[in-house]
Amino acid sequence: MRSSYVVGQWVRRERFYGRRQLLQTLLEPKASSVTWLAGLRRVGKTSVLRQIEHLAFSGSTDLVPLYWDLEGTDDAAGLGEGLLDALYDAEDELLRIGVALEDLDADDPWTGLEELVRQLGAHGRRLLLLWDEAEALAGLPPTVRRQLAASLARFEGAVVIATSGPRLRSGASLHGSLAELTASRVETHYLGNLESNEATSLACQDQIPDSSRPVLETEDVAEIVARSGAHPYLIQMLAKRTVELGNVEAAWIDLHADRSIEYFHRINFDLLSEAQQSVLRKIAEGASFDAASLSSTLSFLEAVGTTRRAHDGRYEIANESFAEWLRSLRSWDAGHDTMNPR
Amino acid sequence: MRHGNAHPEVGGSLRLGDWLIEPSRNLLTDDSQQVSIEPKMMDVLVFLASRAGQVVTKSDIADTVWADTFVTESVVTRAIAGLRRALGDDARSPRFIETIAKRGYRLIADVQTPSGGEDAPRLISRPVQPLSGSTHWTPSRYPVGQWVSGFSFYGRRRQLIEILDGQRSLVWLLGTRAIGKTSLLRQVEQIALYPPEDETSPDFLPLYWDLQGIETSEELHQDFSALLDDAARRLEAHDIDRGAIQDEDFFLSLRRLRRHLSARGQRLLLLIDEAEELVQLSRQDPRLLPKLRRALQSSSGIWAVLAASSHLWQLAEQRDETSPLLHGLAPPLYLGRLDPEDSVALIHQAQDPNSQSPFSDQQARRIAHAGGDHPYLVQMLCREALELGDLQMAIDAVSADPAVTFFFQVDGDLLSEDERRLLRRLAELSAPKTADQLARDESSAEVLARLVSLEKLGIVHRSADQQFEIASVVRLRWLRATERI
Repeated sequence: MRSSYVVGQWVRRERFYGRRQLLQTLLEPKASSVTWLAGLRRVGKTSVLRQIEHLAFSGSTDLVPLYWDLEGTDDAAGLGEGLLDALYDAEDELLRIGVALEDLDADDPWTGLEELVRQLGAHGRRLLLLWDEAEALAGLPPTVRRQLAASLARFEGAVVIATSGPRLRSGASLHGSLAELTASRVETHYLGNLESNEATSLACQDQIPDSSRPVLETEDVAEIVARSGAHPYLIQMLAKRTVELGNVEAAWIDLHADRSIEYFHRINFDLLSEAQQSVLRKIAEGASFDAASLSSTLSFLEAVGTTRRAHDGRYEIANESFAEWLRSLRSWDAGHDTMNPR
Repeated sequence: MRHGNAHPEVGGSLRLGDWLIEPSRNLLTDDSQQVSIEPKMMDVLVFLASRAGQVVTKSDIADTVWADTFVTESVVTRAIAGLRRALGDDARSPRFIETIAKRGYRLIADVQTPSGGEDAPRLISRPVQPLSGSTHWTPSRYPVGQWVSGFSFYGRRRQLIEILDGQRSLVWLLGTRAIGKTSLLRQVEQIALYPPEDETSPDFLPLYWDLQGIETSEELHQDFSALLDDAARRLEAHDIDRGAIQDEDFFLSLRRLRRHLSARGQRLLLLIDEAEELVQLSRQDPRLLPKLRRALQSSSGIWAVLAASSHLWQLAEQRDETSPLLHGLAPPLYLGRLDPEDSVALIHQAQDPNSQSPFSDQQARRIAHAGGDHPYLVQMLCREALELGDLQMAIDAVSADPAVTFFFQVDGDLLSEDERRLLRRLAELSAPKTADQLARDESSAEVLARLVSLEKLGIVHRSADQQFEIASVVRLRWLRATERI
């Protein structure tokens, strides 16, 4: 039987678990709003956008979603290509509303977008722009940014949700770029781990029919949720291998036997500032630090799902795998080749 | 392009400058190294050698080497580029293959034909001796060094299900050299083209795309366009007008193709072979991979399988601003050893209802064990066993085969130093050991993780009681004999 777990790929509909409060907030925006949804890699940002897209298309909202992946976009032509991909993906739904792609034909992305907004308005609908991999916006040439900003300024009532990592490679946050581009106040949400009950639900796959659900013992499910720190990517990797191999321990060993997990931890670690990295290493190694002076850093690390609070209030690394990886950095520092690329 | 029926004369070995060329083994050897090349590339080289000093057009090469299929000239260009890389040649100051502008190519190095001895081709020179009664089997029943599909393809059910019926639309098929990645892609292509009637699999349009030899973004774009030329009939069968989708820009072609297919409720299944080339391509054009990730993973209607060795992990060294391509590819889908029963079925050629295996079940199990259920090794052993009439002699012959040891060397080069050290340790032992028994300076958990990693690649075998050993007798012998790992 095929596995119901989806590892390494965005999901929506019954495959999407949790985040109910966030989805509700994002789907009931003010008249016009800009939201920045920030999170580390593989935490489910794209899936949130895709689920919003699904809910907006299938619900009673006046918002019409357009999922637009900005990856690899670095000029006006790239923006146009990305917009075209987005429109092709939404073609059937747009047609159902009464908007045909052929009527949006434009020489540049801004005119195309403006025409889309105008036509949606004619049908009493508003655009819900879902920008994925929005880091690319910060890298657009100033002239392109100005044109895009001018175009966005003409969108009455449009809603923008943009996702990205919490920090650009330059060290800056995308918040400033978004605010400048949209000339709006930008609300920030951090995407972290699932709630415990959501994580359990995901591990059990309890949104799909009984006949398709994997068979897992209750204690195995609890073990999977605990070891993965309720991280959706880790939960599904571990649960899938547990079903295949028959026990959590064997699955855990198997999981760490290829570079995927090490790569996942390292790339997320690289997205953090030196100060944040340093705090994480101290927590992993059980070293002491002054929590009061680091409160904003600690809040951030908890919000993005790298740490959690133990029952006694102490900070701990959110999942066992990441904690082990952080501790292994000591041998890396010492020149051991465990971490070397193969 | 018109194609004739003539095949290049793939005869015995020959010398090209300092290189010994062995067409039957697809091997180039000089004093310091051994290079294995694709069979078609070898055919091109042999064809050029047969006309050494003469100008040969791309069309001549394509008509001769690819006599049975329609190909474009870019395929020839890539084969020449690959040959130059293998020979260490430089197109700007060539020592072997000269480009004659607007005409073709000329082999300019001295070509000599050694006489007899060990350099003579083996597979056609030895008598065939059946091992257990069958007089109809020849060594060629076991295709070595070429892809197979259909009834010639054995095993890999888990991978086939994962690709054709799984939840992921982007899969990295990770395996060592000669483990059968191309065959698996070709089998996926076959199943997608001719799905079993009793299954409700998605309606795919499969396109097999070999990236080998593609060195620049421009070549990538050109090659995809050529691929669409080759797939003209397949596109027609899906009611797709090739002219309406084909563009110089690969991404635009892909976008149009996706739209056409989506309108019919169909999906594109892109089967990308030799995806290691993306490492070099991304170094040359860093903008390429982000666009590729978006095209393959973000848009609905496209499913893709990228087949590559662990060399593709080199992409992990890139620091992209947005999600890197490798993120969508991890974790990989491993292609390791065959399941033992599939290995035995392969040896018996059990999917051919008209054949009676020349091997007994006991002999088949012994071959499978000696080959570590590695399809290439198992088939090499079957061939040699049929040629020599003796299993032990077959094991000796395969263990000494330079093509085999070359593959082992390549596999070894892709491992970490810790893994290589562990393999050396395992090879020194006379009996299987647990991770605890193998641990020295490192923890048992670290050793276990490395052993499982090697197991996934099919290099190490784990018994039910968690004892590990080198998976193949042939590889074990090489490990004990070599100092190059």
